[in-house]
Amino acid sequence: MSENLIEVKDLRTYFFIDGGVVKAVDGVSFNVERGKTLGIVGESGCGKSITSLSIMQLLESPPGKIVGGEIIYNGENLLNKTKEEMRHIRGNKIAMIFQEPMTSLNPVFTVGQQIVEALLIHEEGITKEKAKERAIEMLKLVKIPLPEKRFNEYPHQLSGGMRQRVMIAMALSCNPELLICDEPTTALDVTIQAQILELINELKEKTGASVMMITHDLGVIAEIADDVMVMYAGKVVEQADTDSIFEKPLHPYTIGLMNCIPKLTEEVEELSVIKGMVPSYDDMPKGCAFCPRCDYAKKICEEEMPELIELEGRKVRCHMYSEKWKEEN
Amino acid sequence: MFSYILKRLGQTILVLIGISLVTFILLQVVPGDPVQLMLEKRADPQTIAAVRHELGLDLPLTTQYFNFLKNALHFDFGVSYFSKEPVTAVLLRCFKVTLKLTCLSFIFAVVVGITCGIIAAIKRGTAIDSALMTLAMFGVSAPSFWIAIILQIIFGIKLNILPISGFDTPVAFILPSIALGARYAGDIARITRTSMLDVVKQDYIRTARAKGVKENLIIMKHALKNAMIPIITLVGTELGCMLTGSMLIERVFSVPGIGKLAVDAMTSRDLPLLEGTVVYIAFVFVMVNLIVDISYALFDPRIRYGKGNSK
Ligand SMILES: Nc1ncnc2c1ncn2[C@@H]1O[C@H](COP(=O)(O)OP(=O)(O)OP(=O)(O)O)[C@@H](O)[C@H]1O
Ligand SMILES: [Mg+2]
Repeated sequence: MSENLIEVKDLRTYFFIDGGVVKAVDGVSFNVERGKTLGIVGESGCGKSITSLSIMQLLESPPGKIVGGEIIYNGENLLNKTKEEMRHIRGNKIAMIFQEPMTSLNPVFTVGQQIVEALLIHEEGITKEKAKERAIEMLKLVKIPLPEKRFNEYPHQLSGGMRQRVMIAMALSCNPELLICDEPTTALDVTIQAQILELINELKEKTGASVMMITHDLGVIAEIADDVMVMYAGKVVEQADTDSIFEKPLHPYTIGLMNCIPKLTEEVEELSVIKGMVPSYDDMPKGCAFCPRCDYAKKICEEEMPELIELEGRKVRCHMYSEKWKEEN
Repeated sequence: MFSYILKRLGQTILVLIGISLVTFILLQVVPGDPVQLMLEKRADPQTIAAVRHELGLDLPLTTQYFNFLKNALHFDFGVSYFSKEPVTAVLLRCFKVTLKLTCLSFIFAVVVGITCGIIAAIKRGTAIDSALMTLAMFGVSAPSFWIAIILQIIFGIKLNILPISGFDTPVAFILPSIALGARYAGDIARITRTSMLDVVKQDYIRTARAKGVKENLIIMKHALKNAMIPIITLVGTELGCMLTGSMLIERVFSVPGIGKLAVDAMTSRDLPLLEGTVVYIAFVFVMVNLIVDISYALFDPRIRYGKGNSK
């Protein structure tokens, strides 16, 4: 049985700023199945964080506003919940880990106080002693050495990797059903990255939680995700399960991302990159947003935004796979 | 921490000696002879010389200073030239009055200032924010004696609900406290707002929200504790200013505190009294700074542990 824990339908999150409207997330739909990991990839600025902050309803508002769509969690639309109801979901049912472990913990409270706080908020009737016990257990679970001692330490006494472990311990302390990880390893060095990913994977197995893993690193996706969603300029450009996407990426942008992964087996003269930059909100092309950087682009790409079309059980937003394209050739 | 405090106290003594020396020299340089003032220019040279001798003013300057220093070590600053009262007793009497006034103004300034600052920060960009900040600006820029007089007119004369002078009843302190505290409240409100706005942008506030912490706890616990350092710095300096007395406010409300004492000692060239007052003022500032530094450590573990490790 594959049941969806969360279904995001046509989510639109815009930022209303002086110069106009930034469509940071523009009609994004996806599902996260129970116990599965969804990877979201895309370049910086494509709307990954805003997607996850929209689910948590942690947008900076104003200027950010969810202007459309639904977020169905356990059959209920989160966008219809009151602030207080959302507060009970955040940190309890849906938890989040952020990109910057160095600044994501409050410097003036001990690690222990910060984990205990989450427990005291969400676990009804838990005593302080019990919460402390649980917090130390959580620190043990995320493999922090000397958890009893660390419990009383302040964030500045810990390394980046340790702090991210604390964040994970805190996020998982109330047994959430969904764990959103927003680039949890980007700020860490490579060996620590691998350890943290392994830890998330392991804990996911243990707790049965679903994971939304946001990253711009396809290597991370290969490591951890069951399904992948590729985003570009606020829109989904490709959705598929991890195996098929690595086997045969369809969208030119995904192909470009794949080529950017250095391969150990090949002798490469230089790392390939996707030329050009993500267009800014005030000069979005009329047609496909990726068109100016695309090697395959034709006239139609400049003029018309392609639909997200279904193809062999996956989805891709590219004219190349449309009937029109085939007719033209 | 303890050895740090001891070290700071040691520095305090050096600072006080330095300040007393500078005052001593300045008083020699500034024109105006206390003896002449005392005898109102009617005395003959013999009497003047006799009085100078009596007061020890005929001794060499270095001897005068060392005598002063020696006595000061026993908290003896001599007697006032005019009232013949021991300086320490006068200081103590005025200090009690100033302390009462300070406590009330300080509480007023801190409570009103921090509350307004927090509210303005939460309501950033709204009419409430603008109204509070305009009020704060007004508090900071309006001269305190002017606020004092306005308050006297409104509450003392028009409404006739509060006394406009004196210091014998507790209610008499209400108007002077507000008048004295207004500008400090304004300052505190402004720095609280700035500091809070800076803190609420931080990642750890987002983490707290992601954890499901109640909004008012986010502000009062997670944000405020981080915003305290700049607020403490300001509050400390202001506490020092209040404790050393406000010449204007004390004058307007006829409250005999340190401020009034300093002015009187100055105009009458009452050297022992003036020396005592200056040393007292310096002492207050140094102590307040020490307290401020210690309270940084209370609020910020990074400072607390940094000090702990380096000793
Ligand atoms: N406060 C804001 N005001 C205006 N625009 C914003 C704001 N926050 C985000 N955006 C816009 O939303 C878009 C998506 O941002 P988002 O943070 O989701 O990117 P991202 O995919 O997470 O990138 P990264 O990999 O750098 O974290 C960006 O182009 C950005 O310009
Ligand atoms: Mg991001």
